[in-house]
Amino acid sequence: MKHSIPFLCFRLLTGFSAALVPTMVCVLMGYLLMRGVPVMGKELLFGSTPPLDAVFGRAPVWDGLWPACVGTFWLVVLTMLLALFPGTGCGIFLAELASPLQKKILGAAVDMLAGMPSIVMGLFGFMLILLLRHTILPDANTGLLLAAGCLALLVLPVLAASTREAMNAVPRSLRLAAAASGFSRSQALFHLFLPAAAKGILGGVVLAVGRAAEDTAVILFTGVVANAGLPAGLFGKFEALSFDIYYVSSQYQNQQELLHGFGAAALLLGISCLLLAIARLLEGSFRRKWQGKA
Amino acid sequence: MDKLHSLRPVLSVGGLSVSFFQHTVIHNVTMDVPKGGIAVIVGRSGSGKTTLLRAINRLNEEMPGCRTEGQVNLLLDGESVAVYPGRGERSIPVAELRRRVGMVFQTPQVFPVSVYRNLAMPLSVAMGCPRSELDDRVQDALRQADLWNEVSDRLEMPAERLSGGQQQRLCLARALALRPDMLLLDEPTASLDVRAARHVEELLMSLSERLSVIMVSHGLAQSLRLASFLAVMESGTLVRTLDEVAGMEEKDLEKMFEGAQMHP
Amino acid sequence: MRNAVESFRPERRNGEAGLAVIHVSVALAAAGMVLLFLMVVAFALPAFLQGGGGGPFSWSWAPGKGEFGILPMVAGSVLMAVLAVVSGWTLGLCLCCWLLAPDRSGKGDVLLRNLVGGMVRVMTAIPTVVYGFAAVFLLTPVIRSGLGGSGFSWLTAAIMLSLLILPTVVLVLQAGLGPRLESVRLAGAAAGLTRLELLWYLVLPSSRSTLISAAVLGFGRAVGDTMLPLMLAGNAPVMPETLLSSLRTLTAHMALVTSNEVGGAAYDSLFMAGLFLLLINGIVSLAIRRMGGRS
Repeated sequence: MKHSIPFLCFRLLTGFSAALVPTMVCVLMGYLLMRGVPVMGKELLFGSTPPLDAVFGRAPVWDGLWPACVGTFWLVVLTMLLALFPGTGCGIFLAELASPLQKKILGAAVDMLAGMPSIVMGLFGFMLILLLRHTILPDANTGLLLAAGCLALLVLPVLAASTREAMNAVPRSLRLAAAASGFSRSQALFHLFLPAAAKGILGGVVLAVGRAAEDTAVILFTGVVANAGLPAGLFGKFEALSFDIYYVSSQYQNQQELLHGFGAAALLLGISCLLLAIARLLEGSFRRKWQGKA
Repeated sequence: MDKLHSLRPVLSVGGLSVSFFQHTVIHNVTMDVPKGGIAVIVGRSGSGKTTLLRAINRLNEEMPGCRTEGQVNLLLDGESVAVYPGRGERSIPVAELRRRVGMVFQTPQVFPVSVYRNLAMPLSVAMGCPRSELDDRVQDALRQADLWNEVSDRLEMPAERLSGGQQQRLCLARALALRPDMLLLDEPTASLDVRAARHVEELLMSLSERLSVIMVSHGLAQSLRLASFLAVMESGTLVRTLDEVAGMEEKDLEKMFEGAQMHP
Repeated sequence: MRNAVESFRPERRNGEAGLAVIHVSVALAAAGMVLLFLMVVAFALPAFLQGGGGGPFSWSWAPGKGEFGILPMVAGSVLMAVLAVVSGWTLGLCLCCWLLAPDRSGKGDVLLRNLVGGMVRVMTAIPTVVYGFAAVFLLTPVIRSGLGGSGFSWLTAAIMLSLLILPTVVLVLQAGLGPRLESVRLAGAAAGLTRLELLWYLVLPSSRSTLISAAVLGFGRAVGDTMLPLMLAGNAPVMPETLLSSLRTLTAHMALVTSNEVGGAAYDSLFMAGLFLLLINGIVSLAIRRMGGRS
């Protein structure tokens, strides 16, 4: 069979990109891990402070990633606390309860929020503080809680979309069986469909945790600093892993700081990949459960 | 009084039409099903028999684009109940209707919870049954479905791990646990092997002595074995009803389909 | 027995409380979204209406001289995103076709494709700041020594951005093209066509909306990303002359303005930039909705 020139080019290109993209990713990430993994260890996290003292907050950590890890941890926990109910609630509402009009409006809003640049969420938090300063709270300043609130807006569509999808994946036959057993709609929703969709929803939650942990643009606006130590409280400044990486890349003074940057990047990469793997496993077992059922 | 009851039809359908998105699935069905025994609706696939069955407990409304016209009256606990009440008639909440009319589907639809919870949850949630009575009623229902001996030591096991026949009997038990006045069965043996199917059939025969059973069937032989009343559906309309099937053979039944073939 | 049954209160556990929780959460989420839109618009409006010299609508950014134009950044964002989409979309499309069309059905071949497909999924999880970090120390030196310039350039950032949007593009295309390929595969195989030929001659020409929505979605992600342009594009607030010149995107501009705390009119440009991003995103997601694609 004779082929046109464009098709031959196309065939060549498919092979080319199939080779190029994995190579680039492997080289970039391989380089990162090559330099980052060797510095992993007690030193990287705690510097010269004894680990136990650092963990219990008895001694400050000056040249380690521990404060950043703690900051990211609290950030993620607060974010999920704030976003969990609104996010999954939206998803359930969209899948089960909304009228067609509500579906259209809320669905469009969630989609729009999903595509919103994360820096706009950060800007929103920044504006909120400016507004508070000019009105009721002259001392208002950016801090952990504000950052978590903005991150919650960022992960809300992730939660809503995955919850909606999980609920929609509950098979129709189960819905019929529930109705035939005399469950009212809300009874069936809370006692059958939600437990049935739980794994899918949980997968979405893990993905959302990943997004909250990796995002840098939002916290850039809402109170992250390079040397805050452990977060001082809900309204205090904080450190975060992702920001530390950015900070090192632009401001590093010596080789040791640079190595810390590589260590932090490798650590964040590991955490993100781990979270993705967990989410995939959950989603996989959710799908297997409902496969082969009409 | 009792005699009067036995004369009243347990199910009476009048001028029933059901359509989905303007596409008519069953058209102007009228029939009276007498009390006692198993009423079997038989027909080819796509003849509308499942839709007719689902019209009885208003399950069609769970599907999108459904429109129902006509009347369906049920004899529930000696009282005639209009399923689709007109103006001024006493109406019954749809959840209560579905509780009092149990249903079993073609493929076993166990809930993705334990064997015990499969029965206990509808009881406690949909019916508000007190916790203290749950154990007794679960056991009672499992015994009625002839399942107790097989699962009594595995009540906490996920119901999906039961065999197909056991799952279907579990569904039967779930329907029975709500103590319905009527059972609707949609080809309950279609997905089972011969032995399991026979087991379910025997169960249905014994159950039909206590409550009305209406069943959609896919096989002529099975229909003749079980039916005390037979309704034949064809492309959305009711072709014929028979109050007596004794002495009939499969080929007699086949003729009613105007020479068309049915699965044995 | 019937009496005993009816003495149970029917529908005792209606899930009213649960429904209330859901409605409250939806209200919360909706309130958050509305507040976000309102704030961004309300803060940007004064600057938008002000106009005149030195305002945001000029081509010169020089806070020292009182000039706060953000048009170079708008152009920078668009240029950056366009270059990233052109390369990212092309690579993504080719990669997707490669994944969909194994030309040999050997075991190794399938394994290789699964491996690459898995890698694309892993790419969705790589934090942008990690991409940026790796590129600062690996890609910029390569560009600097290979092509000249400082290494922090339009090209550098666009290369990394195209890697960033690639998984999005591939996944959208796979979801759109995969089923269509499957539906013609048997008939095509009977006519002696390989999958790749089917893709090129039949599937791609009939999948315009999938192709476009993948590109639009990629554009949205590329415009919205902050860390890669900030770390890699050099951030000079001028129009780039070549692929190797530095430029500044809206997102990077916002990050720089806040960290430098210039205040006053500089903040106005910040709010304007936010509004621009909001609008671009709005148009993108409207376009996707119009085409019925998923986002």
